Amino acid sequence: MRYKFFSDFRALQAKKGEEDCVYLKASVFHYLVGKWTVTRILTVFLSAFSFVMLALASMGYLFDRADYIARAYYNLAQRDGYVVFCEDGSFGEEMDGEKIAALQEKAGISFVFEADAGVSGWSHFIHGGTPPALQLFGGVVGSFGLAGAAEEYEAVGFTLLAGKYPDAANEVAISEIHYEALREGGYVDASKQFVWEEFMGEGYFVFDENLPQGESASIASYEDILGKTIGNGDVATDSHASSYTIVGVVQTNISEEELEEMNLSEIRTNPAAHLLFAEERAVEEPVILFGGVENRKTMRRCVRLILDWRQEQGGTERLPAPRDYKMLLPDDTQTDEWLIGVICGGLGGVLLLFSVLLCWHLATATLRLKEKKIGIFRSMGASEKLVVRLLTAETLFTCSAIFLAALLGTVLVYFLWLFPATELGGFGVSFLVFNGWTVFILAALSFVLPLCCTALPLKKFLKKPIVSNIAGDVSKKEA
Amino acid sequence: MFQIKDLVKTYAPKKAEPVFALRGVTVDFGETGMVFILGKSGCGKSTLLHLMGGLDYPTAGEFVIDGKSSKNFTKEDYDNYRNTCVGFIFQEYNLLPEFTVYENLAIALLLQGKRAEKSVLREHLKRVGLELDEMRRPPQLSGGQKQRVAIARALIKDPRIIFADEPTGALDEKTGKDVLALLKSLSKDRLVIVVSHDAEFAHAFGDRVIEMADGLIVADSAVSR
Repeated sequence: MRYKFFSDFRALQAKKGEEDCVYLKASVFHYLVGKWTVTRILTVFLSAFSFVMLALASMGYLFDRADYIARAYYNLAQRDGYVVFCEDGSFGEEMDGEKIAALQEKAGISFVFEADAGVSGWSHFIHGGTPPALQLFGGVVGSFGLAGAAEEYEAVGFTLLAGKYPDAANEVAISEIHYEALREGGYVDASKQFVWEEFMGEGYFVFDENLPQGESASIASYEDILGKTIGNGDVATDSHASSYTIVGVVQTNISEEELEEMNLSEIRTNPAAHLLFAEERAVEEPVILFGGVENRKTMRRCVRLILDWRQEQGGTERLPAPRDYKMLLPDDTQTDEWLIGVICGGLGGVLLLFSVLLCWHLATATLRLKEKKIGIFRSMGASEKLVVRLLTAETLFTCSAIFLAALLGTVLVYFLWLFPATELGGFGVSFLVFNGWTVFILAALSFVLPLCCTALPLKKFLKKPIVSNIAGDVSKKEA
Repeated sequence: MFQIKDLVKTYAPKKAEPVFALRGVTVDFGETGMVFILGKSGCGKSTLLHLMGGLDYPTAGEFVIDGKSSKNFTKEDYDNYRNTCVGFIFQEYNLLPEFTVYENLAIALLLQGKRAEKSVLREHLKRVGLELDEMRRPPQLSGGQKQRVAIARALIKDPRIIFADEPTGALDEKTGKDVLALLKSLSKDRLVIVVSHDAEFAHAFGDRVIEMADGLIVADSAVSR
């Protein structure tokens, strides 16, 4: 007595190439697929359209402002190798050494430094004043001071041309731009010409050209500049003044196009950073430059930290602007994510109802049409599992068609219309994001909905005895 | 070998009185032979056949095959039973029109996990008196040919029991006799149970005749010739 159980779908397929056998490679599948082509096509396209709307709505509902800002600045960082945040002239919170260190540690970025703590007034150490070449940059170069370690500078593409990277608090390396300016004009020691003045409760150094200059020297090679000092203020008369010894010359790989946006000047050390950010010299300008940002996640962490600190200080969640960046900031922009969510969600929800009805109707009608044939099949020995597999395979085929149509539709709508319409110029980002979640939502809707609409009628269908299946027949064709 | 014990089948439609199609039927069958089940329309003979063939489930009672009771059958056991143990022949043939004749037979073999060799298919068609082109489809056949194909489809599984529900109901008398003669020849090495309302055919071809009325067996006798 053979009670062997054959549930493998492959049992229905004869081996290929055996011409003495009968093929049923896809016959049974085709047999179970079939009529109502127009209804199937309508179901696929209506469902796909509904899911496209819901996917677009999800972009609105999943909007994350911090992520939006982070993506924007990440793009800048990728493009330029760094991104600088500053208040564009206004003064805001204080970034002290502790916060900077925390930012570095928590964000995992290679280094953070406070820009605009550079050695201002260095151009006075050029004999004859600012050379014409530097006038391209508004005559002021050296507004940024970077504080990191050698490996950090090299990570962003700097190259040591001569000397070494600084490793003491009073050492500094200069960029090739500074070197060229000093070479062209010659070097002069102007430290004694800086005088301290107080104005409206604040003090700063001013350059008094009437005071006598110090020693001057011509600069013909890198070695000529090494060992020279630059600084601001009178080191003898004021504790705020500092003098620095030039110990290296660094190629900062700045192209001419970038020069107007970012003028890197001095290269400093971590000890110098701590000195700069010491409590008594708290930086007042919240200028933060990120270098070596490796990925979006890192940038997001940095942005989140800055936003948190701003909140602690009672400020708004507005990030400082990238220096010299005149375009609209991502955190200033009006984002209509709620509008997208409501409109697309509403439309998608209404269409979803029709999609569910169509899927259910298709499944029920298919089962009804095939009822007799399934009954005959089962009377011949086909198992319930096999029938479920065959019908599920047909539904999966429909699901796949819906998914592909919905995915294509979403991609086209997003990249051809939505993204260009909502892109924040210059940053290259939109507040609407097409990502893995979008694809996941599309896939979940495309497969879960039709399968559920098929599973329930199928379960009810299989409860009927086989003889009832064989007795029912709505087909016009009879064997 | 094959027994049915106190089989009961009750249909309980909504808003209607229940219908007692079978009221407790008990029969023992042998390994071979042709058994006719006779009765008027509505006596429960087709219901009995469907229950024995595993196409429906009893309200109460059981059938026993080789000592195994249907009360202990799972869904998979029923599938196996229909797949390997029984072959069914219907009044309306119930061939699959989208498939060729060969493919209709092949499905039965493939469901058992066997190769559908054309030589085997041809042999079984020959056994039922048919020599057909492999590309012929059921709509292109006569009633008698269709029923022979149906018999071949049931036979190719090598079942222990063949159930035939009014196999000659849609055929003319001569063709019907030919079909019954064929079934008779098959009954030499397996059990063939035929439901019919034609007593003349039953006594001409059957080895045993069971008469039913109102869901019960009223007579059960061997046919003497």
